[in-house]
Amino acid sequence: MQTDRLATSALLIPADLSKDAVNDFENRLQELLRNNPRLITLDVSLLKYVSSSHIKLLWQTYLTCLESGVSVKLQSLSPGLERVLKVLDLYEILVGEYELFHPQVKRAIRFESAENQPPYADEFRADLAGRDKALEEFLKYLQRFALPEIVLFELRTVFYEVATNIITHASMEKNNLIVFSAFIDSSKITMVFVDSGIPFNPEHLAIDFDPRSASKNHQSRGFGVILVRRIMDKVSYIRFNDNINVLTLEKTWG
Amino acid sequence: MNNQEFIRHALTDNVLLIKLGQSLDNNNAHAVLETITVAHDEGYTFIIVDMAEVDFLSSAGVGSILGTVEMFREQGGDIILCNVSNTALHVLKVLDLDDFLTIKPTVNEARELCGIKV
Repeated sequence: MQTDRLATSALLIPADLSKDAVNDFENRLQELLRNNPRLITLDVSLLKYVSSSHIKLLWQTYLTCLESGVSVKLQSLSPGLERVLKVLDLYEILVGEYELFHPQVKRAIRFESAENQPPYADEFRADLAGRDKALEEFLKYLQRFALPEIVLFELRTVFYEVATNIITHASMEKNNLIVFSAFIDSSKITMVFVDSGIPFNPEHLAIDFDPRSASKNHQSRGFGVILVRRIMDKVSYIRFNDNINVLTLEKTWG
Repeated sequence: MNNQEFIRHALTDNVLLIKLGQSLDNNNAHAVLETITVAHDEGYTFIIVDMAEVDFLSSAGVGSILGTVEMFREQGGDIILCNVSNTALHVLKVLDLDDFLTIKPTVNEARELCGIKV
């Protein structure tokens, strides 16, 4: 006799992606899959911002479920996550009809998210005018927080350097968009840049340099990555689907 | 003078003052680098960069100074930054350049360093 499959099962995606949290999540996923559900709903309400690690976890979960013949849908998306998924062409795959057929539910989710401290999300054209406008908007957002002047300047610098680097070196079409999101809490700020340019992984580039040797070699370029990596505490990068770059930068307070 | 413009003014036969606008960044770094290089070719041995108006210094701006300073030092001269704001100084500190580059509080002190009596 064939056992009826459970209609749906829900799983919460953790915001904290420490090794323990990821292990725990994977164990719970395997436990759910053993029950042979037809659909697993991934609740992403805890993701107030989206890092490359979150995207990776969502994608791996999707693939794992697919291999087991189980459908996956996301629920409770923040506007920032929704934008990133759309740029990555994952929105239809992970959200699909379930959300599209329930616009009132979607509106409610957005409202609820805005009631809480909203993450920052923007998209801008990959040119200097687009960068300058986006930077202006980001600075307006940062003014909501009582950040010291020097920290504001550092974040401005990081945004400027990363966006300029993408615009100058990623060979993107002018009409292509760079998606930027940021989330601030009491412990840190996370900034995420998503673009469709050529790959560039700054994770393992050296942050040390010798001014004496740089000046002797008349080096006038290449300091942006060093500056960004020295200002931010954590930089991570993934290349997705071989056409999307997701760069996540974190700076902890104090 | 708009954000990216700068003024070039000869103080003596061998000292050139460059007064920058509000930013030294990707928009004007190349022009500043070119101006400094041309000044070197013209025989100037000291460049004083007045940064009183500069509130944003990007890595490209830093590169325009760091990439040219050695040309002057090799000839006993230098590029001297003065009136550097806290934020611009912060960028130089993050890159460990605050000790490497010559920084003076005022234009007059920079002039003295170039041997000009104030």
